[in-house]
Parts: sequence; structure tokens; C-alpha cells
Amino acid sequence: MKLYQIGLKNLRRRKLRTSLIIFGLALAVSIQVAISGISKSLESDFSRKLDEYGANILILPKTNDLSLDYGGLPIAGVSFGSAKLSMSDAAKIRTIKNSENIATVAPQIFRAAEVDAHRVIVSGVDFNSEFRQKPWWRFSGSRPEEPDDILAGSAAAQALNLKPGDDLEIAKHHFRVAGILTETGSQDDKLIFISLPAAQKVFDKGEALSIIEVSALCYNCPIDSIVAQIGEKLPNAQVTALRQTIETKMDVMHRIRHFSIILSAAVVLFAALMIFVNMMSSISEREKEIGIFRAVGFKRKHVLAVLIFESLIVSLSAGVVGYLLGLSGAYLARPLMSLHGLQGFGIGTILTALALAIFVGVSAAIYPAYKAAKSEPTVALRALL
Amino acid sequence: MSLIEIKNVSKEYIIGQTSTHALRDLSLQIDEGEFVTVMGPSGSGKSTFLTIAGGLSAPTSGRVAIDEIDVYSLRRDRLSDLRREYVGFVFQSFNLVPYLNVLENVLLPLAPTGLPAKQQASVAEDLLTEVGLYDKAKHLPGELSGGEQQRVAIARALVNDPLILLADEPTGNLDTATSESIMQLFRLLNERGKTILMVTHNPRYRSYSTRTIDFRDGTLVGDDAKNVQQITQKDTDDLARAQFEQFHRHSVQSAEEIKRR
Ligand SMILES: Nc1ncnc2c1ncn2[C@@H]1O[C@H](COP(=O)(O)OP(=O)(O)O)[C@@H](O)[C@H]1O
Ligand SMILES: [Mg+2]
Repeated sequence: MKLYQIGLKNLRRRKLRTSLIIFGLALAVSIQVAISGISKSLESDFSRKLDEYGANILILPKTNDLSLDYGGLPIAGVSFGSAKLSMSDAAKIRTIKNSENIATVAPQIFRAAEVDAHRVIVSGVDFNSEFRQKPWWRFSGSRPEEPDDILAGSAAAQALNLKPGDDLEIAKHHFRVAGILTETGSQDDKLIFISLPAAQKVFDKGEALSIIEVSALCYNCPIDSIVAQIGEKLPNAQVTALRQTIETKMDVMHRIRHFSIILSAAVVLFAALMIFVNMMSSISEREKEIGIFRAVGFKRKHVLAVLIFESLIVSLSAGVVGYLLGLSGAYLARPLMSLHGLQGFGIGTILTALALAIFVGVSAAIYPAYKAAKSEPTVALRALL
Repeated sequence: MSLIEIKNVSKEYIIGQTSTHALRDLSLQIDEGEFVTVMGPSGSGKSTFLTIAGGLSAPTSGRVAIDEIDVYSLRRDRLSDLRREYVGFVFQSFNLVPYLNVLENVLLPLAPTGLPAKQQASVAEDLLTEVGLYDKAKHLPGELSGGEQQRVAIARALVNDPLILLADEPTGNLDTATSESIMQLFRLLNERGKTILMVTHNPRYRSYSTRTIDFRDGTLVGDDAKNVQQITQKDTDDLARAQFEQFHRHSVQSAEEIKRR
């Protein structure tokens, strides 16, 4: 017989007690695993859908010309001065170092035009990017599909008395109203959207872009450095980060993260306490057994080895069980959190779960084990005589 | 040189304000091969004497030597080694580890030694055969009778082949017939050369031993090796006198037995 076998046999023959301790510790580990997994998944979900919160970087040509107000930002939209932004500039954005963080690049053209004796602003957009960046857009009619389809903002439609299916002439070119946007309360209400290729064909100097809207994807990556990288590629452009859109969302994420850290810390502390108390009481129950060990010639380190080995086995099992429980818990909680996928359940989390279980299990066991092993055989002997 | 030399040993337990003198200036020598019965009323210091003689607890003052080794001057770990090599303990309450089976309980003292499993098993199986429990090697202590449990405890005490076997009221929890068989086992072990110190309340069992010592209030009041017979005090009742005579007769008998061998 070896020392470690003593610990194993104790655990095996006291199945109920052993499984209760393992289950308690596993529960704590699982809660930690589930909370951290869900909060990681929320973060990554958030990152993935970041472009749905609208663009967070605006790129404008450097100009002092008359400006148009767009979403509260002054833009040089109606300038017919020397074109400084082109489609090739838009393509360059995808070549920056952090290019994998760029979700959408939406080049746009704004031009003032005379339509039915009304002066309106026509915006040439890539409809796919636009709908991705503005998931809040609702419209009557249909989504523009053909090159001559247009989407009219609600105010513009009212002014021009437009409804879906109407024909419209812009700068002597023929268009068809595919859809009318319901009111958004933003600048979009006053605009008439046409496809970018159409805009470039219809307007003079159509290759000149008015603005490029960029969505950068990562919620934690340094937006400033992405702005700087774009600025380097496009020296003639003015690159601006729209902080507010992202920062309020990030703030929510940080709160969720802090909350989850506090919650799991509390759970883990509770588990540690529970195990500590359990170990303490079981060790005083085991005083007699420890006395026997000492009387037959075990040294303190031998007694310690038996007790620590036991807690190691318990902790490891609890770590594995806790990881699996946490994974299943997070999986079940997925619909509640409207999460698409689960993140943070790789080898790193397994190791963290094991480390956590061992840390809690063994450190809670060390003091009582040490206390028990350090007793003089005389003290233990009283229980034997 | 004696196997166990006890010189001017005193033991004082201090709990809070009160102190108990469990042993007072005890000097005693025990030779290899002796079977010593330790008698005396409850609280007279018998258990204390046994644990001090066996290296389990240090005296307050005085010296204990086993095989000429000054026991309590040893470092803690060396003392554990000495205990394992020289001394086997048998207790009144058996003190088996409840979750280890019979074989594992017998092997317990070998667990820290790193002795190969094969050798461990063969030693334990021999011992279990000797105490008549080979068939029950896989049973848990709870499934055994008291006498069987005590046999397991004796086998465990012997597994290191120690020179000295210490037994504190080993038959205290057993019925008469079972006690007799345990005593016969002790006698057999003694005949094979083990030095045995055994505490008992039953004067009948002196007959198995070669020497009887008697404690009162932490001092030695009787030792038939030295003919210390202070037990015959004025207030000694008839029972005690009868017991003493019986003890004397038995010890003569066993001395003769020894000569015969
Ligand atoms: N660990 C201890 N702490 C305090 N007092 C003790 C301890 N062990 C024994 N005693 C006291 O020492 C005296 C002798 O005890 P003990 O050696 O157990 O006697 P016996 O075995 O003859 O009954 C008793 O008064 C007992 O109460
Ligand atoms: Mg006693």
C-alpha cells in the first residue's frame, strides 16, 4: 500500500460525503465558468454586431467649403471643390494593419439636386452596407434592387408627394421609387437614396466621394489607433471617430463584466468557506485516524500527504464536473440571453476551472490538514487510549 | 544493557491552572524477551508509562533509552522512524482505520516506507495467517468481531517486526474466551522473542507474563523482578491480597516454564 492509496480508499468508501463535497465545489466552479462564458459570449456577440450600431468612424475630404450637417457632424457634403476622396481611397481602408477589425466601408456621395422644383439632397450609397449599418431602417414598399431604384426619406417623400412605385426624374435621369423610409428622426428623413453607381453616372465628377462611413468591429480594440492608421493611408482625408455610439455600448459591457466578476468572486468565496468548514469538521472527526497514523510511525509530512492528496483528487474532479456543468448551464441559458454562439469554452477555460477548483479546494484544506498533522502524537493519542 | 531503560522519568500534564503528576521519578529497566504485565488502578499512570516507554510522548523530565538510543533527544522525524522500527502498539479500542480493509490496515505502517507492494503483501499475508484471519483479508473492520479486530491490530503492530510490543488493555473490550485467545497469542509472540509490555486490569493474565509491575499514583509500588512489595499496606483489602498471591504463584510458574525452554 502507498500513501496516496489511503486517500483514495477513504474517498471511495465514503462515497456520499465525497460526492457532496465534489458537488459543492463543482457548483461553484460551474457558476464561475458559466458566468465568465456568458459574459465573454455577450462581448463577442457585441463585437460581431457592432456595425449594427452604425458607423463609428467618419472619413471626410479635407475642405473648408460649405458644409452639411450630418448626424450632428459637420460634413463637406455639398462641396464641388477638388475631389479628394475616391473609390480607390475607400479601397485603401481595407489595407490598414488592423484591417481585420474593419466590418463595413460605406462610401457615399451627397449632391444637391432639383426635383420637381424642390431642392433635395440626393445620397448615393451602397445599399447593402447601408442596411447593415442601419438595422433600424424600416420602409414601406420594397428594398431597392435595380440600379434605378431609389429609397426616399420620409420628409423628402412628403415634400415630393412620393409613394412606392412612383417614377421620379433626377438630373434628367429616370428613377423608380422602390421604398419610402418610415421616419427615423435623423438626417436620413430629408434624403433621397440612390445606388452609388447610379449617383456616379448621374452627377458630374461623380467619382468624388462626400464621405466614407466605416464600422470597426472590435469592442475593445483601440479606436484611436484605427483612426490613426486610416489617416496615414489617406493623408487628404479628415478621419473622425464617433465615440458616443460605441462608448455607451462599451460601458454596458464593462458593467456586465464587472458584475460577473463580483458575482463569481462571491460564489467562489462561499464555496471556499463551505469546504473549509467541511474540512475542519471532518478533520476533527478524523483526529483518531490521524492519531493512528502517527502511532504507527507516520511523520507529519506523511499525514499531510494523505490529506492533501485527498483534497487534490476532490478538487480535480470538482473542476472537471464544474466545467461540464457550467458549459451545459451556459448552453441552456443561451436563449434567455439571446446569444447566437458560446464563446470562452476552450482549453483555457478548462485549465482555469481546474486551477480555480484546486486553488479553492487545496487552500481550504491546507490549514485544517496542517493543523491536524502538526498535533503531537500525544494529543492524537488521547483519542486512542 | 537493557532493551528499555527508564531513568528518573516524571510526567506532568498541565491543563489550565491544574497540573497532574501522572508519573513521579520513575526508574525501571526492561530486558529483551521480557513479558511485563502493568497493573494498577485507573488513573495511576499506566498508559502514560506505556506511551513514554514507546516513544509516543516525551516525559517532563528524565531519560528513556531504547536499545541504547536516547529516545527523546532524537529529532522529530527520527523519533517517528524509531517508533516504526522498534515499537508496535495495540490499544484497547483496536483503533483500526474504518475505511481500510483488514489487509490494508495491517499494511498501514509500511505505507510511508516505499517497500515494494509484493514484499508488503507477503509480510501481511504471513501475519494474517498467523493471527488466523487470512480468509478475512478483504473485510472491513466493521464486519469483524472485537476479537478479530484486535487480532488485526496485533498483526498491524507486528508488520515492521518491531522488538517491542506495547499493549494498553488489549482485552478490555473483549469477552473472557476471546481474551484468553488473545493472551495466548501474546504468549506465543513472547516465546518467539518479542518484548511485551501489557497493561491489564485482570490479574489472571499475569500468568502469561514473566514479570508484573504495579502502579499507584504515578509511582511504582510493585515489581516482582525487584521484589518491591509495598502493595501489602495496612489498608490492602482481602481481594488485593488474594490477587497478589495468585499473581505470585503464576509468575513462579511462568519462570519455571522459561527455564524449561
Ligand atoms: N493528555 C493528558 N492530559 C492531561 N491529563 C492526562 C493526560 N493523560 C493522562 N492524564 C492524567 O494523568 C493521570 C494518569 O493517566 P493515565 O496514564 O491515563 O492512567 P491509567 O492509564 O493508569 O488510567 C490521570 O490523572 C489522567 O487524568
Ligand atoms: Mg489507561
